[in-house]
Amino acid sequence: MRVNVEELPGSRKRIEVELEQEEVSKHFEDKVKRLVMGAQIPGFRKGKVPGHILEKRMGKSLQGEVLEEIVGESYGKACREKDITPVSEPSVDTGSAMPQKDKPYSFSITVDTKPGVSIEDYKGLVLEREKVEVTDEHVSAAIQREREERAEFLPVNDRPVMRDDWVLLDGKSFVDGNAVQDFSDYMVQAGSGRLPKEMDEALVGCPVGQEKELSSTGKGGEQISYKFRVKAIKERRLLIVNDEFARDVGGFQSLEELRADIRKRLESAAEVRVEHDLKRQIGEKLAGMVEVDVPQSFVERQVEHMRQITRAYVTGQETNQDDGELKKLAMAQIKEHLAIEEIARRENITVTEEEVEKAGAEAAAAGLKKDAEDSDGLRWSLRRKKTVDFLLSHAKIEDKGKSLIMTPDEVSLIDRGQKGNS
Amino acid sequence: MDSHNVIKKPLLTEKGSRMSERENKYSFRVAKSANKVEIRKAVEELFKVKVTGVNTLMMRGKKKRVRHRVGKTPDWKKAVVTLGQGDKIDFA
Repeated sequence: MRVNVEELPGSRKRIEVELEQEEVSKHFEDKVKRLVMGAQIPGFRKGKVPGHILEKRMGKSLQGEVLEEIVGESYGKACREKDITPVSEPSVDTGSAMPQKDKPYSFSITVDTKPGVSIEDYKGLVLEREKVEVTDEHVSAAIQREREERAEFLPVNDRPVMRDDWVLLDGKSFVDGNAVQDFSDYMVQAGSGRLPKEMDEALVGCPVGQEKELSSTGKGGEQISYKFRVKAIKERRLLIVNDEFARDVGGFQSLEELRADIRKRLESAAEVRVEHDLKRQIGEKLAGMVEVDVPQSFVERQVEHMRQITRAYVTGQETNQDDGELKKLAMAQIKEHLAIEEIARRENITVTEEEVEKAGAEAAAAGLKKDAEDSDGLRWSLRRKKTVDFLLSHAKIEDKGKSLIMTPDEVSLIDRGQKGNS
Repeated sequence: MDSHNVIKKPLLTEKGSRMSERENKYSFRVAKSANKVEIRKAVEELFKVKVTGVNTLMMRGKKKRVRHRVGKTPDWKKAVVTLGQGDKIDFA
């Protein structure tokens, strides 16, 4: 087998394959031998048909099957021989000639390949580190949230609803006389803005057990009406923040200890965020440094992959990003991927089999998808992580003044995220 | 009789293909009324070969049951033709 590779623009390659006559006839013989095993022709027992009779019988279709085999085998072989990584479905050009048993055969395959990239100066990337600052305010906000979560609700029976009371509601809402929503045991704070405005207002002053109906006109002129009953009124009692509160929350000895723990948690969460941000910067920088002609089919495949991921997380909802935007994103991801791959190759960053197994076991233990069949993906993600860590350790990191944590609101978000993880 | 009416069809069977490989003998389904001379002539004409011997035999039709009736497929004549050295017939 002779293989000749011709470079085409856009990282496309044309692989020309020439097979000797002996190779072609060997393919024919092998194919016939295999077909004989299952062939059933009247006059012969199964598997006893002589090869030449079967060959005659099959005629053109045998050529087709042999062609498929020849192309499949030599394509794989040629790719291995010439170190080509295809990224698209190959398109095969056999001309009009079918292979014949006693003649040499040649054909060509055109395929998009993974473009080779060259990347220099990847050591010493300049990154900006956001400053982490956890203030007393942030800690207090977290404590406040904890208080709200642990608040007691005391039933109120001796007075009607007042603003800021929590109420338990049963009810229905109608648009133009049609029921659209039915709720029961709905707990909500009066005057918090969670309910429609009219309902919020009507709620104040209702005693327990009273039913109310009200109607209003919507923006489109439709008739909206509500029917609800106050089942119970509750007053929220926040706990007093003291040492006892600290004990309740997490078995801390004193309030100081609780505050220190919260601070530590917030700090570590922020650090994770900072590191994440640095890694994101690395990805962006790398993508920007690589100049490469990425084949269109590669980009499209990546776009499709991204769509699939979105679909997996947001079920039943198509991505609303338009194609152009997705393509740009996909392009950046591909560049980053190629750059990291190249750096890993140059720096000899490898992943051992044990590491893959360990990571796979961890993923399985964490209840993630079973990674047994996806060890390639796992290996790549480990290699990528190692490479990024390598780049991070060689990067020039400049501190930036702006603090990452901005508002107590954000703190509570991070805090919540942390808790969810632990 | 026309050669095409003498030779009905070649017989492609395991036994037949073994015989053609080892003994250069080819088998045909032939007209019931055909005799060995006619068969020899027909094969020589149709396949452009030299025939050195013809054997014929009557094949009994098979008994077949259709619902409850017993029927019978027709009897037919088989001919085994030996070719001269170097001659060959390519069926299939």
